[in-house]
Amino acid sequence: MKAIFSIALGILAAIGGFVDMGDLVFNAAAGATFGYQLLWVVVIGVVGIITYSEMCGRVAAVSKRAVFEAVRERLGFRVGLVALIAAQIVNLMTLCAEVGGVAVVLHLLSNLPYRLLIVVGALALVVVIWTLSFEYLERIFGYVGLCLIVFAVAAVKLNPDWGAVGRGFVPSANTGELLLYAFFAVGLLGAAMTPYEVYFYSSGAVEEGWTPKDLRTNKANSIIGYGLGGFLSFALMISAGALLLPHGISADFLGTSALMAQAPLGEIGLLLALVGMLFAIGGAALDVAFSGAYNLAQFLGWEWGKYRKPSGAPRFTLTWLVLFALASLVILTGVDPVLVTEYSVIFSAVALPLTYVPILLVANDRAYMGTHANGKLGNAFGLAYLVVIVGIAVAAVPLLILTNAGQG
Amino acid sequence: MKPTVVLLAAFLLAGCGSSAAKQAEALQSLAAEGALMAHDAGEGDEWKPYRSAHADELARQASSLRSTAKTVQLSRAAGLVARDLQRLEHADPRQARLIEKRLTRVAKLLGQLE
Repeated sequence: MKAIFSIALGILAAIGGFVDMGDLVFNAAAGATFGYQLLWVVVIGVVGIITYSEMCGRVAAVSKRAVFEAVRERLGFRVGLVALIAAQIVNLMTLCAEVGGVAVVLHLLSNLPYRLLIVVGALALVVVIWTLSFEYLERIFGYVGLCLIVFAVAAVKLNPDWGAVGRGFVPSANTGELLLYAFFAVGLLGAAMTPYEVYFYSSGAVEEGWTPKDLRTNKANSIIGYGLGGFLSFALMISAGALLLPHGISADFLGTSALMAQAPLGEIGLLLALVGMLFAIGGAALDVAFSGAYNLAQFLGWEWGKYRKPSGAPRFTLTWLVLFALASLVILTGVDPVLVTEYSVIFSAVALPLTYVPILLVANDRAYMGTHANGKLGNAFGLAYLVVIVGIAVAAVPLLILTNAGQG
Repeated sequence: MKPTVVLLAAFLLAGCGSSAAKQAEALQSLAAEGALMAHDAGEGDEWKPYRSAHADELARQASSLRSTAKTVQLSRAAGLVARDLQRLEHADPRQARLIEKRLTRVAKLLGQLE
């Protein structure tokens, strides 16, 4: 029973962590532009994040070390520092997007002034994180984030061409806009495999005191949790393909994603979508802020952890507070959170190898992992994804420039 | 309204270059989205703060397109769409249905230009 409960917690945490601003923006935009043609990319992204989150959860359970502790220990200070700088830049950009996203959703729910809601939203997140335990944070953001399932209902209600949906799971590029298609493919992969997800996952595993006995829980968490996250991504893309594409609507606003639930399901659909988005994006903001603090604390050897009181890990606590303050200030300048999301996802694609190469190396190290090192299947998947990751890292920025950030 | 829209389309067809076509596409998207929202408002099945906030965002985007439009005709069309989206913020169901009709018509005409 305890094992089932711990899997349920992991599933909820994964849903809240997987579907963030990047997924909401890129899945809706991809569906609005190419219909169902890019569904296969989501499958690749989900299998990739399952592969690597399982690996880093295993490393955490066996070695009691999170990703950045392992990076510093196994790859040395210089390589680790490069990885840290890249990770922190991407984390800050992502946090800006998430803080802005929370404010936009609050604005859509209340029509109160947007700038006021940036401050209110960020402060509310800080208070909630400060006062609630790790367990309750997971439960609240995860459970309420489940409201996003409304997009699956909306997708069915919009009555899409299921034959076309099925064909979308087979790679093809039936379009005259190949560069734009490639840009969205890179963006979808970047959004699915955003580095903060594995930093948070591995640090959370250490915080929860996982041991080799929890390896089955780790596998179930990563497969079922991220699998459900992928399911929601499908729902978003199918809804956009069924509603927005036929009307020629481009998904440039977060409010447009909410409309995908209102059009087929009315007011209740809209409210469920907005509440789900609020908690999924809020949960992601929490994950990203913690990831930034985890990375820095682990790299510099500070005390860290949400299970400790703030006075027990003062520099860790100060780091996530500063990250929230910086992100709020950036968004208060008036920069568009959706645009920040697009840039953060593309730059996270660039930084992917710096996150995933060390995980693969450590998970493969028998001196470190003993009998729990990667098997042949794990290595085959890990290496295959490494090729994909390096490919998208190289292509990301040129595609960003050539497609004018997806504007064509 | 109908003759105005037809005239507008004729002007657009004559004047659109490639960047103007992109602007027409963006404006078509705004008009179509506004029409969808107006449809829900006409049926009274919507959350009013959302309608006000999102219609305002779309209206600001249309206004911004108006000021950067590549042709006079496109600027005029963007002005019409922006005005209807602003009206939608506080429209009653009857007004919302009229706005839906107008925005649908503009979106269709702009769509034919792409």
